[in-house]
Amino acid sequence: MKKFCVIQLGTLSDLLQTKRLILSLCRGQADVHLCVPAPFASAASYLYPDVTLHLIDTSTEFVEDSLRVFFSENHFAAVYNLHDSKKSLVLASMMSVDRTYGHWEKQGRSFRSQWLTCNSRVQGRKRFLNTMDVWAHLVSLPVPSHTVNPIAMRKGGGIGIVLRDEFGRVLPIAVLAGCINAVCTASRETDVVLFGESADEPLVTELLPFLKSSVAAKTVIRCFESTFEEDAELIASLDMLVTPESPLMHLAAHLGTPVNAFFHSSAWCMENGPYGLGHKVWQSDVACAPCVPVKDCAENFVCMHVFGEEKLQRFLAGKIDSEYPEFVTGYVSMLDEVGVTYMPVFGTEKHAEERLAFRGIASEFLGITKISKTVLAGRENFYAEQDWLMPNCLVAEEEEDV
Amino acid sequence: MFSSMKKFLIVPPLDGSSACVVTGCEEALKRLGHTVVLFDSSAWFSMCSALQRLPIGVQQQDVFSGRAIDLIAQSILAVVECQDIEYVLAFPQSPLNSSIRKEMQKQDITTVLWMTEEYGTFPFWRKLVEGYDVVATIQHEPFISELSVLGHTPVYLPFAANGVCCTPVSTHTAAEDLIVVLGDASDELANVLTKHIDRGMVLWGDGWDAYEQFVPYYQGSLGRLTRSERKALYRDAAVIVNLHSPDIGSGDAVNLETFAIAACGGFQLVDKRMLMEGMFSYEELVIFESAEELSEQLTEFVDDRNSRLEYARNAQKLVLAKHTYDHRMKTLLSELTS
Repeated sequence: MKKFCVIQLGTLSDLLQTKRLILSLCRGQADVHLCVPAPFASAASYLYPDVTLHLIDTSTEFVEDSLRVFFSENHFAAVYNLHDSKKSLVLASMMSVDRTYGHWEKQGRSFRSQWLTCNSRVQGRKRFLNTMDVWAHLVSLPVPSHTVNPIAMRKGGGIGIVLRDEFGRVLPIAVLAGCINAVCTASRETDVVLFGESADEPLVTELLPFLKSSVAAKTVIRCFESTFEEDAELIASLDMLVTPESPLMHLAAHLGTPVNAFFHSSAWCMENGPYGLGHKVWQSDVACAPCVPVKDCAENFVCMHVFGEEKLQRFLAGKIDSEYPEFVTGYVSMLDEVGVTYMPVFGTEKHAEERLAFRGIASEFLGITKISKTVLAGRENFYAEQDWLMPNCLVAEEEEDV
Repeated sequence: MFSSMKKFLIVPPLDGSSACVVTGCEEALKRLGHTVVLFDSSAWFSMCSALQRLPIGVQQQDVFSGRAIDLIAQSILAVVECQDIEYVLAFPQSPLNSSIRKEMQKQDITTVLWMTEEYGTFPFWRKLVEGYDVVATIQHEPFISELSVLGHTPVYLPFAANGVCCTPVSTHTAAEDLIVVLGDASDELANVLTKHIDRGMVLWGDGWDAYEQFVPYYQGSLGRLTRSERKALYRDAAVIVNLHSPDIGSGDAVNLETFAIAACGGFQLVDKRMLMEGMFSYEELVIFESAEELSEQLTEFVDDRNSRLEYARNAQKLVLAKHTYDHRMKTLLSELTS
């Protein structure tokens, strides 16, 4: 039985976004091991019950003796190290392995899979690949994208609202309330569950008066400590999860619960949108988006305020006018041969054609398409000359993924 | 055809690969009366090799590698300018970049790529072809049409043989029981070749060392052989099993070895490729379409020296008549002047 190891020391969202890779490795009854940060133990065992977990203390570079012994006694056909943090590299370097993918170090030199290098050259709005697919394609022919998550369908349990995004940011209260009211109007649903932390109670107190009385009356507040499994059970019963980019958004996609996401600031749906069919993303399209996460925004978080525009809220409420507002693009998720992508259904975004071209190039790189018909001549920077000229300049053989 | 002599710069691959092709082009162009300047790509190899060993991060590597290639490409441009070069002929592994090629185009230098890689296994081709006026390719459709769409002048230019490699087949003294296998391993091929291992076998290519029975006979990558070693190997083997791909019958382009073995007067069993039709017939090559057929052919020909010599003679005659670098360069030159 082939033995594989995935080192995923990123965020909880990253752990959820590793699903396609792990499903691909688990084919053929392989023995799959997964290294995760210790706080994600319950989430990892819930999401990936068939893999062997190794819990890692990411606060130190020191590797526990028990883990050292395990790695020294086991040989892996391949290791997939998904991040280049020091601890992640240390773990990858101590394994006996035929081949490493992702990130690794050797004699002080850093190495990275060619696939990741090529993808790293595409920045800003041209980013075209979901992180789930970036990692999955480290495996040759990963499981088909439609088999990763179920098609999202309403389950009858009302609407869930996630208050904070991946980085703890929350929409301005009036904007958030407007979005909730509009979405509840559109879906004729007034049962609402608010997902937050215990510290969010003042926020909820501030929010409730802004909600329609019919909505506020049927709102359940869930601002307390809960396990990953409890959250999953509740989200699996919902009609929809209204959320910014967040781990619960990826969990909803995992469970087949429709996501209605508001992407602002650094969130870029092409890169981190909900995976699978049946999801919507409202992507902030102001000039500076997507950005890098900052506490103080020179533009006064204009990317969040655009969701409060009356025109947009009419669309959210299901009143489709002939004139669509600027600065927000409405997408629905769809699948192609590479993975998940998002089709604009309200508004347009000027880099769409370039992203389509990049998907064609990626498809060629992965050997899925022989000659893609979507590629534009001479306008891409996915490759650089060093990709094919430099690897052959090594005299001795290197353990590398080319 | 050309009415006057032209001046070419040939930029060989940085890694020293395709040496036979480079020499073949150089000698053929000279025989056709043109002036050829050969850029010394190999002199830069050690610089690139040093960069490939620096203990640095991946982003620095990308920056330094890009600069190194740009420096070499700038040097090539300087040679082009100083030597009044009219045509630059390069290959996929030649140390040029798209910005320098575009600069050459601005200066009315005609840039020519002989795309000696198959596009399906070389996805970088989209970046590679940027800045080339003419792209000669060992494959035909759909690649030719795609190159046209992208604004290049495509030329179908299969590999060729070097006429000077030829020695009369009748003088060959093949070791009767030596089977030479050239190409990459697969379970299916390993299975059938095992049956013939007792006849005497050497194997070149990737993956054969994974099979215990072949380990004593495995020689390594074919790229390790020098030109003269290849010539001797092709000439003196009883049977050469020339494998394009472990996935038999799947591809189109005909490899360099098919031409080289024929030119050297060797006898080959070769897997079917779509583009063999029109170039070779069943008079010159013994073509197999499955591993089982290869096994049958090995049994049939390994003890039949007369048939082998006849095939070898026919193949050599055909290659000398139609598939030398002189023929290829004439095809290319007529495209350059049309």
